[in-house]
Amino acid sequence: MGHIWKIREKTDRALCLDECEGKRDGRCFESEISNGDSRFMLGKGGKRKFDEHEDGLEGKIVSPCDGPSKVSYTLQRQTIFNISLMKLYNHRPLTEPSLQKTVLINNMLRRIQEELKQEGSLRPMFTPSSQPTTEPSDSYREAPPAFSHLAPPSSHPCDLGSTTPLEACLTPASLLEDDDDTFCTSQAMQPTAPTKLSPPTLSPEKDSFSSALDEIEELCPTSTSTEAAAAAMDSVKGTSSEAGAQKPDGPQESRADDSKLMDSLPGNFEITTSTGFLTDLTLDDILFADIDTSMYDFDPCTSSSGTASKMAPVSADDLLKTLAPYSSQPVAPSQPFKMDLTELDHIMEVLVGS
Amino acid sequence: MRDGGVSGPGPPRRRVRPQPRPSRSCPRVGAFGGASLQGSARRTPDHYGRPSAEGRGLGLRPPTPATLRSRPGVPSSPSPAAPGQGPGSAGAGALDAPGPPLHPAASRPVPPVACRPLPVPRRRRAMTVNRAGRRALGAILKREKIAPRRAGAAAAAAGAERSAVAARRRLPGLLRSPPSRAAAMAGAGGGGCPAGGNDFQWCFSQVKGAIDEDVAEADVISTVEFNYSGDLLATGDKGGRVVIFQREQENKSRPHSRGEYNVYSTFQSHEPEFDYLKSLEIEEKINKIRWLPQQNAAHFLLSTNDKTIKLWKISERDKRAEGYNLKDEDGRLRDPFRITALRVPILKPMDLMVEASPRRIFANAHTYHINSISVNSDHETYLSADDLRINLWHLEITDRSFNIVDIKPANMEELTEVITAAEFHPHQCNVFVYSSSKGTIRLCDMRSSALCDRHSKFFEEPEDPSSRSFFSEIISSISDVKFSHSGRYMMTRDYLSVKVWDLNMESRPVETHQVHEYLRSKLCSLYENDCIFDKFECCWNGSDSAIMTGSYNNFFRMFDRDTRRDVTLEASRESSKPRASLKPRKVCTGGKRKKDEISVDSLDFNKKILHTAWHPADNVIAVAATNNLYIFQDKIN
Repeated sequence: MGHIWKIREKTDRALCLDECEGKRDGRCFESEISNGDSRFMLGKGGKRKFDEHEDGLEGKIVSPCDGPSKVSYTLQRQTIFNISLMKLYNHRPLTEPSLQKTVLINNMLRRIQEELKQEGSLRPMFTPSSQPTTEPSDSYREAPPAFSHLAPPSSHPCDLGSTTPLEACLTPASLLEDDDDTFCTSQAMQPTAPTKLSPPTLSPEKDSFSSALDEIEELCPTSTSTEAAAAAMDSVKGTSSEAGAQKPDGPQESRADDSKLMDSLPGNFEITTSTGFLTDLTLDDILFADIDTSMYDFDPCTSSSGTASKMAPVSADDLLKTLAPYSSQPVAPSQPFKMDLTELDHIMEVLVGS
Repeated sequence: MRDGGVSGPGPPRRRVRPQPRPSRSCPRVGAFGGASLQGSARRTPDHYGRPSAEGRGLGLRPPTPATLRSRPGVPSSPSPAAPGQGPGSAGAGALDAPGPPLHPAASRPVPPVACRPLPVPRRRRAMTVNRAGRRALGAILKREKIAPRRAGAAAAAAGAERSAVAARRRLPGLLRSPPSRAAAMAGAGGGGCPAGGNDFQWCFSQVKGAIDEDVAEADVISTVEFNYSGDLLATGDKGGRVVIFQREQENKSRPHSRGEYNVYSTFQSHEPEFDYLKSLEIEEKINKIRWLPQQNAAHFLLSTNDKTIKLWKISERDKRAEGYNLKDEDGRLRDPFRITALRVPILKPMDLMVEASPRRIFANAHTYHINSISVNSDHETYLSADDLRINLWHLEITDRSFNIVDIKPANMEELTEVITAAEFHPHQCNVFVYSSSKGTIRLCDMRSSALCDRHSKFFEEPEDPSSRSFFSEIISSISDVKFSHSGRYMMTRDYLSVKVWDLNMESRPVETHQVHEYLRSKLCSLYENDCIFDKFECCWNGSDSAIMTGSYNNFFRMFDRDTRRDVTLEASRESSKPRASLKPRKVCTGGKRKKDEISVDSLDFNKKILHTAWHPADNVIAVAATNNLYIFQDKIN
């Protein structure tokens, strides 16, 4: 797995978006980074560049000052989408979170999703192809049709013939084409998420998951894309999640732990608003949410739930499997590494055993 | 209100003090079967999600206040408030039904929430302050550097060690006032001549609270409220404490201390709790304080946190009885055989003592966070609103409340709208409004049905398509709704503007005032740092000619409705010279910045004024800026 886009909680994304909204006086407004501690809006100069090779995988925004309004609209929408997800799932309050805030954020996400749906319905859907992919765009093409009602503006990646690697496309808004690619991947991820697993339950496992992803990153797998496409489509067609297909015991275990875990998680006062609404965005969350473990304080979560640790092996395993195909890097064909499921199992055992 | 025509047999109703809903005794339950069951037919699940048709209160004895018990029997077959007739307009009064069919079936039994039980001490002396020591109190506390407790600490761990004694020791930061600026001293006024006419010339009067740079979380003021006469000013903070200031009587010896507010009483209203069921802490932050109209020498107020409402009695004691027969002066019991003579105890004056004692605790009725309480004009009932439900209480009865609005959907995933504020009409005891997160206000008449899920009036301004953005819905969420004192208008505050509505016109507001339109282009950043969810409040002045609301950077805005002028003022230490006039501030949105203007980029979004209050009669305003309380007075004498 290459560069995983990382959202910083308070980043310049929003600022540049505000800039796009019309103020062209050449100043970017920067909010200080800390939870709820945005003090001043200072001016800063200069554009910030996307560094593709940066270690640590920070996605930065190039302020699309010169881009057309459509670009900034899409950019803004995606950014707001991600910010909203962050708000919903990163928060670990000691007290119950505000229902009004949760509802407003959910409405925002729903609206964006509706828009994406509408946009998707305007464009033709690609037929699922099962041949192995040799270009990055093809792999995206397979993924989107799996998610039938959210087919992305898929003409873009193909037309642009983007040779940018998959990992670059995971960064949301460096370039226009990447933006759309991001849509592809984001939507592609959604159906593969096991429906039983609610997003909040996944966040505690990001700990081990991120380390697992690091492992994958090193191993630099290529997809058995047939497998991947088939798996992706299966999960959409069937009600059972891919996890269920491949790991029958997993969901049952996860279901039992689910209820326990969901009870103790924020935003859950007898609803699973976030979970119910965004089950199809589970992997979206994984991909776009910060893998940086420092942002998650799992102590209250694990102590209160007591089952989070148990959740880790099951769902992380599933996610690894689902991600494996998407972590392919066709751009680096020099390492045609194949990650078998058995190898993943082995890795997971190692992780869990430690 | 109601006309005299009564459809059924029976004596005409005796006009008593207007009651919102005269209660019916049990036998009447059946009589209202048609109407009320129609209204309450829906089986909303109870607190724990169990459908509770049985638990709707059928058979429960409704509250029967003394005034109603002597009421003659009502007609046995009243025509139920027909659905078509249901949403009667407020004040139309042409109802055939003999009266508001309040039906106790609407009440939900209140299952106990798994909370730590609240202590209900009697006669708890939270804080005794005598008149002489009141002014010195500030200096003493500052000297002793009593640090307030930090809220947000691990409640479960800290809860065990917290005791009543420790609670007493936690004195709110408001009691500490900066020594050099404690009182409005006689001094050269900083401003010029007052502007003529309706213009206010606000000048600084007092500031309460410490000037420390790092503010304890528990000291942040969360609500400000004047009482009905304006003599008392109550503030609640995040640490669950209430501080009450009293206005000094003007006297000749100190001509310049025109109605200064000094600490009158302070007490710990709410303690943090732990909800064991959800493993979440319940904050002790005081969300709202509402005064009750004064009926005797004592003062009553309602204070609420997220889950529990408490009725506090604040009473003065300046006399002490001496000369008991059975007790010695030091309290020891006297041996009855040794008493040879009887005497009548004599009342002797003592130093004034102000006691606050909790009189009622209304708990376990809200699943979600309480955001508003509102006392009814009948002075007997009040409503409390949380995110999805509104409950009606009687002040005397703590174990029962009526649910009058419930917008919780059957499937919580379909939830898109929550209640954000609710208030009773100031004169019509059957009318209340509640605002939603979608920018709508619903006016409900409690006479129409027991469950007011169907509104009588629906206020919504059509959206301006040109200003549509991603955040249109969020910024349209109404954070506060207030009726005018006259009862004809109501004011709503959403994120960027204040709107005044005429109750008779539902299609659009009659006035819209922009509070900080320059933030419209910054909405994305404000969404990211959560400032877009800030809940600003608004208030009317006593004559309904002006309205006030807060903004960022310690700015607050005042709009004069008659002259259509508005002004931006700042509550800051710099302008806190005694009797200094406040200078109007201006925010420049772009381009060249003029002198004395502040650019949008340099606004401090941590300094927000969410809570303001206006004296009901005089031109005195109280502005809460984080942990400081500023009091400004109008220079016009």
